[in-house]
Amino acid sequence: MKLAASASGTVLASTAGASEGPPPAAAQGVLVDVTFCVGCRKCELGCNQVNDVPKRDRLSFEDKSVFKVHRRPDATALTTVNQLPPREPGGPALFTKVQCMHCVKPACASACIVGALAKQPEGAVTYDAWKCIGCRYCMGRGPRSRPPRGTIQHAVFKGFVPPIALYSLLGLIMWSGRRERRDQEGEAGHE
Amino acid sequence: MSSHAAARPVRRPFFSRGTMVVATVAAIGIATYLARMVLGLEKVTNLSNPYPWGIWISIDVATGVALAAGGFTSSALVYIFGHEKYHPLIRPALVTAMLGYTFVVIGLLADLGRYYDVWHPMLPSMWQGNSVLFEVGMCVMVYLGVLYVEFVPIAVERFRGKVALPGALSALNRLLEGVLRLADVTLHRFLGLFIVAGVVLSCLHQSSLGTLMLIAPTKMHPLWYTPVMPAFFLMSAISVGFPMIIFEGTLATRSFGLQSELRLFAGLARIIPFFLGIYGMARVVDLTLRQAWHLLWPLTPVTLSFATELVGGIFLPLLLFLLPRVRKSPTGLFVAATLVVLGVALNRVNVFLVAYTPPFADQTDFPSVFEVLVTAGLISTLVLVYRGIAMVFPIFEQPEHGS
Repeated sequence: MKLAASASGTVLASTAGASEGPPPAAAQGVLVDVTFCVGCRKCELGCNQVNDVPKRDRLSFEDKSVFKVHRRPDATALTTVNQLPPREPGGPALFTKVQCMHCVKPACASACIVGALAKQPEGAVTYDAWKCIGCRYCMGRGPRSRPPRGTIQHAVFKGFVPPIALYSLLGLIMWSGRRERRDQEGEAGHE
Repeated sequence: MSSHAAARPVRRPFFSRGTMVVATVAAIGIATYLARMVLGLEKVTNLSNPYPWGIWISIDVATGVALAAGGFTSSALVYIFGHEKYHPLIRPALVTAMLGYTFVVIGLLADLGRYYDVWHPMLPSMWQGNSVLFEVGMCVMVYLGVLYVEFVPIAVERFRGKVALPGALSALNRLLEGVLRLADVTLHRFLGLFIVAGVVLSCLHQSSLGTLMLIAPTKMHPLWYTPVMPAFFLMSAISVGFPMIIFEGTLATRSFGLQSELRLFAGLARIIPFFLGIYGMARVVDLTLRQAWHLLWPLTPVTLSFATELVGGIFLPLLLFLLPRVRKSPTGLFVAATLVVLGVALNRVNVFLVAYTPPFADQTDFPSVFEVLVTAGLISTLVLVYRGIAMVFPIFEQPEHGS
């Protein structure tokens, strides 16, 4: 639990707000256990294939040299996997993926001047490009560049099994209703 | 208004050597502005995903709004609190505020990624009541309208019965004359409403600008991040209102060769320490209650910027305004007022730019040369338009021409 938080090397004074509070009843969720992650980047591949982003060659996702720099998601890659320094010298390498957390209370959506960013009942935070005026208040304010809070991440998607789960190696990314998953894991797993 | 002096258009040649320099900067800035509109943000600015806002927001918009505060503070002083003797300062302050807000909008258009969609927040289907930016946007829009309405009586005074457009435009003469007459007959009944609305709207969005960054507690330097930022923005806007009137009034009267309003400026200078003192004390109390003083050490450019803002922008001018010798000297008043103006400008840049440190920035954000050119160009254009308005409309009180 504390593993990724300390390994990511960033301590935040306050993480309250964005992902607190009860999720919508119908919310779907993905459980990610990054202690199993080996940095295969298959989640990046799946993200690239189904989303409206510039398509990249399948083999380019086999390239492990990208781990030399810390990569943040951007308009061309909505999911990125990063390698973190081992917890102790000589220990196993750590990996973690970054993507939109689909926060229960998304700061970006509360910032948006025209409601282009919105929280859907299924849990997804969606972006309506037609409404957007490009003020970028969401980018500065939203916690998207925040590190994951723990090894167990809950991400929430809209009404379909996310490709990330299909591509998952070792079953480290699992898909289910958010409520059921929470019941299985218990409160400790959630928080 | 005294009997022998009335507001009249300034009679001077428009171009002087200084004006030529300003016009050059303006021309370069306008060309860069147009280039940005065609080429897009990425080619022209250094803005990035971690640093989405640059000097166009912190200077053109945030500082622009703050420094236009002379408009609402002076109209509150004269019309609401009834200090009639300051009436000669109303029109220059109104023009500053009107142009200030106009250029805030022009500058904001440059910063908007999709400036052609700027009308979206006006559609009720896209209203987002949770957004502070929505409140700021609506307030600024309405207040800009109010400022133009407040300017209408000046246009009526200048042009009623004198509309004579040349050539093909002369067909519009009767229509324009009718509009001016209608405005003259009706507007004075509602003007009080607009003046009060202007003061209220100003207080609303001046503070809302300070609310903008409340949503980013993890990204802001704790020296600046405080829950009372909205109050600080409002207090600093009120504090900078009168110094801004002294600042631009001194520059304008010197440039136009008019008699300085030293007597009125000295009067304002007795009021300024009251507002500036409350603002400065509030900043100190905030730092003390949050136990944030120790964050000043070790000294870095960021903490130095904070100290400069606090000492050079608040307490030094506060001390100066309290000295009778300074209040009697035009240079002393100008220096003290300039310190307050620069202090508030630095505060806005600090809050929106210097204090902003995203946790995953791989590079620091420094404005590109084009960003600087656009900002300089907009300020220069504002100065030129101000000069033009003062030469066409009765803005400055002066004795009869030729006397």
